Amino acid sequence: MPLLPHSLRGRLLLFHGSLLAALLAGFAFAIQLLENERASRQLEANLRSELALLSDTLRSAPERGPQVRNALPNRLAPIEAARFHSRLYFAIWMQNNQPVITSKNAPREIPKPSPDSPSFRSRPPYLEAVLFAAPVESILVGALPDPNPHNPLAASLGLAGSLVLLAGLLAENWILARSLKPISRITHTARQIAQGHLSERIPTPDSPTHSELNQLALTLNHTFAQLEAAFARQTRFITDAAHELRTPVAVLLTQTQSILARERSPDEYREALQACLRAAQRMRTLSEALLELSQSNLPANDLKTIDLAAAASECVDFILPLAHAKSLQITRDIPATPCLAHPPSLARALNCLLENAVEYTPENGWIRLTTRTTPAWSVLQIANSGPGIPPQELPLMFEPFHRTDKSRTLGQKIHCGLGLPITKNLLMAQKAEIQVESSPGSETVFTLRFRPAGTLADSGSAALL
Amino acid sequence: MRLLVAEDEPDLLRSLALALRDEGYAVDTAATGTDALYKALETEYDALIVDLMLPELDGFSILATLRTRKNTPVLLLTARDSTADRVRGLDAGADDYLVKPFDLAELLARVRALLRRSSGNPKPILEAGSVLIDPASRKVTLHDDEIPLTAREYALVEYLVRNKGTVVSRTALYEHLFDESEDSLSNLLDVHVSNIRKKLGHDFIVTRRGHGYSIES
Repeated sequence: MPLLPHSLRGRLLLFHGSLLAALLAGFAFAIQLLENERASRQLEANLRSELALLSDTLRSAPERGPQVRNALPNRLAPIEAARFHSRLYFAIWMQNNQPVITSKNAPREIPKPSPDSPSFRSRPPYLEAVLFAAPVESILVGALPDPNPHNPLAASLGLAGSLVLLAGLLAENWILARSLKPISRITHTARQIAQGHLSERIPTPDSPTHSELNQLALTLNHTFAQLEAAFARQTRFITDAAHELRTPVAVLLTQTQSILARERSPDEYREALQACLRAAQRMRTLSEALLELSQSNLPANDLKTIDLAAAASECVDFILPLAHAKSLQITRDIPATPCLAHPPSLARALNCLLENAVEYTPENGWIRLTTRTTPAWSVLQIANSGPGIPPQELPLMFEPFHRTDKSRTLGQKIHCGLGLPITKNLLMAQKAEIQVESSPGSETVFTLRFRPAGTLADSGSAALL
Repeated sequence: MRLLVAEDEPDLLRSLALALRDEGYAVDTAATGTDALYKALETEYDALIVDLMLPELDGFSILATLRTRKNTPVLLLTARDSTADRVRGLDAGADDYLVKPFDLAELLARVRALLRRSSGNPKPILEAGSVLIDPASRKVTLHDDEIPLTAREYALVEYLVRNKGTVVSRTALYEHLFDESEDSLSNLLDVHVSNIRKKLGHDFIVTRRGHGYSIES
């Protein structure tokens, strides 16, 4: 058994219960102190009035001088019988050191009061009041301790305290149960999600409150939504990849099965084998692109300061023969633009974009490269003339396996729909951004924004921007 | 039997057409959705084999338009095999559904089943008098003797037997037995009919002058 309960509710109950009990005990103690004080004041008043009574009795006695001593026992007998038989006692000292006269219940050896001692003294467990008055030397009235100290106040205080403590604990328990309910809802939902019900969400009140647990629920729900979206994206990606692989496999199966069904001419065999070769090449391209895609989003750590214009120019040189074959006009308006980049990834990304530009630009069209520097970015734009991209397709351009109808029917080169996603990943890995805009019927512009040289931004601010 | 195959992957389209022609079907091809829909509406095909993901117009859209005008049986081909896709395809009016990659033998069997169902005669063996026709093995027997027929002759016999008891016009025969690439001569039919009569008996095919041909039960 651990010293503290494990549950939050148990711990809070224990803590608040002890706190409440301590408060109640302190309160009861204070009340008891006050009560004791009051009782002793009352006792003191009582003693004084008894003292006065005794003194009056003695003073009113007719005897004088030495007779006093002898007459005293008789005089005092009725008073002693009436008032000094239980808790109260008296002691009377005579002048001339005659023996002390005490009531029967008085304790033994009461010290003789001296004239300069206080008129009221506490001599635990006794309380005593003293008066120096003729015809005797001094009179003392004392109180014995309560023989059976019955304290009704302590009992009622204890009962009331226990009731308050019980009520407090019950209320605390109810409040805790109510305020901790969201936690059990969160636990339940998280368990459901872990079992595969990804669309489960934590129920939150319709009117948003600012309670911490409600905020937590909202945050968790947001996280769950993002997880579900990521999972859906992953599933869609796998489905799409399977879809892309199935078509070449279908070609292989159909070609081989139909060609093997009976004897064929050498030309037919050759044609079938070529079709199989194309299918195999397509699968190879796809598998390589899938691998590249999975590696392309690893962040590039060694960013270098390079000239964006020079890098773009180098890549353009590679595509010049292709562009000339289609009689494309290439213009470069590229002043030196230092930026932070990872040179191999940058070259790969630019090659992909430029190859696309050459492919999608109609014959006799143009490709235009421009660079510029803004305070926040080093910018490279690659624009090409052509039919452009329909607005509804623009947001999908960087989605894996998204292809326009046009690219499906081009047939020149094997397209697997992963070029732009790879390009985007490569750029993001070097903290750059890419955007595409298109004016249907005239041109398409890819805008690449790089970190300017000298800004070694940390990853935190990169995520924010 | 004349089929239309719509598929955007050129190698797959070519091999499908080759395999179906080997089976004696007249086969037209289309590489885009719009081409497929145009041909499907213009020609009396016995069945369509349509890839779901066609450029310009996808399989669902083709079915949506086609079903307002024609009952031609449709076999959908797709590389997507989620249940939702299959249900959507079948609910859109497709008669069957085949997921890529498929075995050619299965595709051919499904096409035969489709044609059998759409002719209203679900028996796997067709018969006309003492002539039995097995479309799966493409064999014709007369009094239990196998009669060798050319591919075209077989197709003509199968088509007439499937439409047994009705007169089939020469135009309909041309439309169902020859594909778009063939330059058919008008007397080609008469030559085939005459050859079939030599093999299966003169009265097997009846000529309705000015109307066409028919096979009585």
